[in-house]
Amino acid sequence: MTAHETSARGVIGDAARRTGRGRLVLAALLVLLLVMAALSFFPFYWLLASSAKTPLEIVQSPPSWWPADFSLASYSQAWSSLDFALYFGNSVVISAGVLLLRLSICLLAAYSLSRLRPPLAGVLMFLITVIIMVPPITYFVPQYVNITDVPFLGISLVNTWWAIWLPGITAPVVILLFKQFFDQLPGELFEAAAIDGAGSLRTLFRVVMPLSRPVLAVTAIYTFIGVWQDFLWPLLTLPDDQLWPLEVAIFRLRGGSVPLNIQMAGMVIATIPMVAVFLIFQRQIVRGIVLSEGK
Amino acid sequence: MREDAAVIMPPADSPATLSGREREATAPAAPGRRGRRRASARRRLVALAYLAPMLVTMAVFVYYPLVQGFSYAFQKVNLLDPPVAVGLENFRRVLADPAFWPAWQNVGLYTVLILFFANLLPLVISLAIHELRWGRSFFQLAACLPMMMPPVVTALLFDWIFDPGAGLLNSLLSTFGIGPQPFLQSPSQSLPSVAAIAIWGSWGLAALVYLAALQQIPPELYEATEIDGAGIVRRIRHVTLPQVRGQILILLLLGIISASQIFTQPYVLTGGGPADSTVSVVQLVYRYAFEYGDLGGASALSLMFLVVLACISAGYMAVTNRMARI
Repeated sequence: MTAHETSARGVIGDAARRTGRGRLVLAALLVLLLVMAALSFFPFYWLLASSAKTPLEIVQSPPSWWPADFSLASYSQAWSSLDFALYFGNSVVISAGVLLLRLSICLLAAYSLSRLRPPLAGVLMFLITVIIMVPPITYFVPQYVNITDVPFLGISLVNTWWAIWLPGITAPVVILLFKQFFDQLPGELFEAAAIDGAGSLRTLFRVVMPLSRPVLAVTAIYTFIGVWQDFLWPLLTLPDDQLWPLEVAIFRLRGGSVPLNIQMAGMVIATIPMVAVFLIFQRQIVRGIVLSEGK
Repeated sequence: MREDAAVIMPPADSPATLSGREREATAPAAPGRRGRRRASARRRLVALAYLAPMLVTMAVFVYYPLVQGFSYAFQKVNLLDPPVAVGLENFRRVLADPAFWPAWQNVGLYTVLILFFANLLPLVISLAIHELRWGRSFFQLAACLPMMMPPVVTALLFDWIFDPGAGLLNSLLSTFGIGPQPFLQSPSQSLPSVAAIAIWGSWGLAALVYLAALQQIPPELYEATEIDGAGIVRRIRHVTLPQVRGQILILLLLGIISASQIFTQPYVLTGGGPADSTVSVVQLVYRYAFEYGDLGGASALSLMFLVVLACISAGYMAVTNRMARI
């Protein structure tokens, strides 16, 4: 019961809740929310139920509400004979690489902009953050050309992890969040570190990073979700079927000869990590939204 | 879920920021003028070294492609021959494409539908959730779970649910006595169907933002209007709406920017068809670049898109700023 939490108060007051009309309004709202919840949850149920059906039952019309021959064989088939273990691993490698590179390089850049007073700091900050306002489609095509022929190096990154890792580093939003957080750390901390003779790198590791755990967690979660769900960029830059991440594999294997229940099992495999991240980190995800609201 | 979701609004510089910086500026420096100068040169070098990896990757993978995109728009580019300047030829060719105007019209429709159902309607849902004394976290979970499903999975799952033959939706409709509908396969139903799928996968973000904002409204505001005898509708109009106004305006702007760039859903579900009824502008860019191999045309189209989107965003901000002053 959160009834006595002051911030929990809604539009309808305590007295009105006990009147007949107030109860009616609340009941109507509850019905609305139950419909909303059903619309949200049901597709998840349908995905799971479809994956547990046999290839014949899944295409029968009208569809059955509950799998008659409940079987999880589709998962083992997807995992081993259809290489979903490989695709899952690829998705993990891609996400881990972007996570590691993006967070560390953004951390260094934001720390420098916030605390080390580089020359032209204001201009550089503007140049970085202005990209947030540019829709990615504007530079999408030449960015792809760049991957096929990297400027100055003259090599192609197509079919290498770097094709996703390197452009994945450029996250102006993450720099902005880090910088805002570092700006708010008390100056005494840095003075104390300087008096102790700590260099800038040691200050970053010993002072800044331990304090930045909340903002690091939020950006890591959002990065992971964004990279895991990404589709078009890996579709273009990783044509080799040994390198496909889950989203690309699911798209490429559709139609063809793969039975529908196995496709659904593959889709469940791609969704599970996202749902798990949400259930585990729900607080951080909500905090990320509040943090970004500037409150 | 959009990757830029983590930043809705950059917070204004807080007083803590300034005092922190000031304190640092007056921090004790190394003794001796020459030593200080050498120390500050070294400090600047270190500061730049920390920034260098980011600046280099930004230069190679953002700024350079951005400039290249502008120049491609006025050149014949196809990856095989060296680029040749062609003036406005790319723009003429793209404008003559029979899918050009349908794409813009579709994007307008997508944007309106997505703004209404995924950015405004969630306010109603959030208000309802906020009225509850229990089960709030359950309904918050229900609101958010769809955006955790990867968009490709969402698209393919609904492709199956919307299937005219053995799909779930038609068998549901038949229990209400409604005959089978073609959904994604008919030019008149395809766009609303694609939009509905995009909306299902994205409205949770707005709901989360509104829920967070509603929790910030001081209860005294409601109590004061209650004493004045204001009814529920008036309380929503005079207390709730002004308090979440900022969130509504920002979500609408972000909604315009992201909805107008819709790609994955029409690409996966219909490929833009039938008869270009679901094709979007970004999808047209994709077609030019990766199906026709016409990078010049693709860049000309992206440039037009950028200009239109920038004008709409600027207009939106000008209008909302003026409204704020009244």
